[in-house]
Amino acid sequence: MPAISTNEEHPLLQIEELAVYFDVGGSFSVPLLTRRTAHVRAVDGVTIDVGVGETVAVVGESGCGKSTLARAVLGLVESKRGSIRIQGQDSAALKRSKDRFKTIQMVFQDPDSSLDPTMKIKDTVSEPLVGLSSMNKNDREKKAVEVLNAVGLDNKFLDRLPRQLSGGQKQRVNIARAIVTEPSLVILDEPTSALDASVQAQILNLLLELQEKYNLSYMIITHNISVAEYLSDRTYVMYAGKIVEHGPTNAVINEPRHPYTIALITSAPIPDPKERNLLKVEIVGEVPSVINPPPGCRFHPRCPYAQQKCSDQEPILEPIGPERFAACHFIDRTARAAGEASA
Amino acid sequence: MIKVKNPRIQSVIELLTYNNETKLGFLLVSGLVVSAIVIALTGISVLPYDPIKQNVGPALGAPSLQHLFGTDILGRDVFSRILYATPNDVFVSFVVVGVSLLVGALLGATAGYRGGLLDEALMRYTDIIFAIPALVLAISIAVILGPGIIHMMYALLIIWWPPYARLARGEALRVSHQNYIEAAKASGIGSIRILTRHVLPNILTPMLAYATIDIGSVVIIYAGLSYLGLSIRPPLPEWGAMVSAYQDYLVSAPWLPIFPALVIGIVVVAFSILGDGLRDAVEAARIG
Amino acid sequence: MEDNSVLNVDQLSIAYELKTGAVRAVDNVSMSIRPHELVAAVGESGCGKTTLGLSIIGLLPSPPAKYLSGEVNFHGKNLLSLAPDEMRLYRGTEIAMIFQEPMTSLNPVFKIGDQIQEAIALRDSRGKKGVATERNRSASPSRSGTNTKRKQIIDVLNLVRIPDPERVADRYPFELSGGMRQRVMIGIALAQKPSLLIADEPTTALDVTTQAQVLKLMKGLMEEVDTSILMITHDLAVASQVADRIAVMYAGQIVEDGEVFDLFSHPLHPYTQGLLACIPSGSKEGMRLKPIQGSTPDLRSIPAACKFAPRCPYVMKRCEAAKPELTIKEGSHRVACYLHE
Repeated sequence: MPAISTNEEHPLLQIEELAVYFDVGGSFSVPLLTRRTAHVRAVDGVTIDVGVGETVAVVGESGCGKSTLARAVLGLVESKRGSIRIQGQDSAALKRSKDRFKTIQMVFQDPDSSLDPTMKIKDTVSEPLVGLSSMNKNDREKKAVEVLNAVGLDNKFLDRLPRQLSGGQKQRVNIARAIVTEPSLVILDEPTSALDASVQAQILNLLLELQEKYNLSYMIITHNISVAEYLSDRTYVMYAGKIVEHGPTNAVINEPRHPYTIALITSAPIPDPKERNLLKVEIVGEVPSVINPPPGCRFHPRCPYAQQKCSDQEPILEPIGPERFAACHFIDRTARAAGEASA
Repeated sequence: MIKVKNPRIQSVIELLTYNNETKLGFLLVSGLVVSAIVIALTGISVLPYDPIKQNVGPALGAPSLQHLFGTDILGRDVFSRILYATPNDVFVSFVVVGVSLLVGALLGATAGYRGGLLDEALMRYTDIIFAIPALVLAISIAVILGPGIIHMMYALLIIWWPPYARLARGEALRVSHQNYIEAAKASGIGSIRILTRHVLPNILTPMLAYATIDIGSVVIIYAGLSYLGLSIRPPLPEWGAMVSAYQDYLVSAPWLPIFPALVIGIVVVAFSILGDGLRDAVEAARIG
Repeated sequence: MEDNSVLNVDQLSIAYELKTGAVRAVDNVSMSIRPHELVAAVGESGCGKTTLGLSIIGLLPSPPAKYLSGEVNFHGKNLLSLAPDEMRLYRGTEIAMIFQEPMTSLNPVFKIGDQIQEAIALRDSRGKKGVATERNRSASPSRSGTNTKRKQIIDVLNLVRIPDPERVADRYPFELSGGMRQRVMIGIALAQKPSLLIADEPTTALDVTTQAQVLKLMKGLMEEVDTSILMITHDLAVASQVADRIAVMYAGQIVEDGEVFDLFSHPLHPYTQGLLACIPSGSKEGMRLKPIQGSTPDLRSIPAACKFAPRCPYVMKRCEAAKPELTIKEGSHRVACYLHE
């Protein structure tokens, strides 16, 4: 059972200055012969906290490093720098990564490739219990039935194969597998991106239900602003491997301050033809390469407020309001613009 | 449409009934396999004549009702000889392909999944094997080991598994990047169980389609090698050896070399048809 | 009947004949698109919107698709009555289509400039002996001379606002990002100045900010290129941002269509209302989402009833007895529902 204490000094999850780099060298022989390795700086100094029972959203577009971040937290990739503390304990000190997996689990992106096509649903859902607990087969199956029912799937799904399930049902199976070991934190990587609107709504409500029932904390990785707004208490905005803004979700989404956040929020389509802010978006260019990121502020080549200082010096996260932080040299100018955009 | 409760068996049935090719191929192949087993178990008693016994009919007799494929210079019934030789080719080809599939799948999957030194070593070793013409290599090995079915099988096995290893490695690479492998790792599952429980089952179906056509290839190579005299000792019949022994009669008693050759051809085509159909079925299953 | 409509689909029904049965993918669909109009066909997966789009441009593989009834009138001419060769003359020149995956729409082994060139060459050759309409007669005749060809390619890239077009023209698709590739696709499609562009989920695979850029581009180009757009999407929010009119599809039928402002301020059909209630806005503390009960129906069965009845919170006896027709409620706002008769 996860340790839950209201006197908890430490947040459930503390990521500090985490960096994850990948070598770009190709196969075994190429780096050997050419001695050239470039680095993909997928995550480059990220600090995130998640408290008990809290839902934190990490919002960003493709290439920003959010999926790599999720994998690093889970322990599937090695970090280059920085620390990950789980319930106060440094994860590196957690001798067996299995303890980590018991506390933190993940719902992977894309329900289709997250389920082994050759494995029955009941076996997929009970697999974490095989690797992380010492339950016997009967107990495992009982637990699998329990979580499958909790996600709204009845017993007839036990012996089915993934190809017999719809997208929404597959995602429920993914969620069931993630909670079967009773973790404290569940990371959700784009939990509803591949789903139809009505199915998405069902899954979002299911996640809220489960959170109450099992006292879970969530870390939601998404590019969908409305999902982030609906589910999370606090939001971190990620760009090119760095956090550019974070704070209470309501504040970040309704009064964005960092120029990238402003662009992101205004680009998100609102289902209201009278609010056609999408067509007023002024962002240019593409997401930058994370092998050779731009000097200084990584957003400056695309920023309407950029000055010389922005390419000389990288801004750091500074407080801009109650529990709000942003990394921008000219944050004062954006306040007025943000006000205009939402007017 | 046959429908079964067990979804795995249902998948197999769907593959086999995917189109006319698979249905026909399956029919022919199962007929062949059943005959091979029956003949292997019951021996000469189920055959019209004793295949080795001479003078059961006229010498060089043309095909007739008593002797469906005619008789050879020693008066032996060709039809019985061909039937008697069936388990031979079927046995050899299934064993060679089966073992190659197993060895190749294990080595290739491990290499594809783990990467690193093992992967490089496997790639380079298979490169070497591919660089040498297969038949030449098989013949050389057979010559060194001496004639006989078992020796033939060893020779074939050495050259036969590398393509399976490459195929398995490629498929394993694809599978290794799927999210369910990551999910298994996050479930605390160790590498060995991931390989056996997740990687191998998912690479098997495409490999089986290839293997099915491949059985036909073994039959041809084996028949070719025994045609060269490297396999079985007379008077035991073997299809390739029969073609070799009877080829001089092509003009005077054409049924003698033609029927064994025809049988080889039909057997190979049967496996080809089934394999082709399976390949389409596997592709369709992958997309759908 | 609209006289000046670019597209007029009239009672179109299409079925797929599968081993497991016949599936009615498009069921008695009637809709029209006027010049310079952006109409969005919105619906969830399996509602038939992609089939509709493919059938208009004649790219529906038939078999297994079977045209059961209806017409697809383009500038008054029924495309379904054309022979494949005749239809081919329209495709790309008068009606163009772009798809969801820019990754696979461009040929990876040819440079961008070459692929654009191919489209331009096609336009010019057809202008002479292909579809003779007002528009094509005014299109510039082909002139040999690599400089002019090069200029035409650059013009197309400029049209879709691709920065540094000279360099991009010499690049290969893999060197461009998803957003850039989609712009190239739009450029190729619009280079031939079609009067109708069908866009099937054009921005679904793109990032949010890139999506905004591409949508803005498409909307902006409609005047410049003198084209209408049929946008197929599952995203009602995206549709609300760019569409002039929206047709909501469910299980092969149009259940509601109308001007975008009307539809959003007064959604009539319970499915439309359900879809709108599904879109999260605001936090969980505010209003819990109300998902639509049940799931999409099996299209193999063709009940006499309204297809949405099993999931409808307002279902009445009538709904299970017969299927409601798409009728005008007010102005151009149509709905297929007995609640609004």
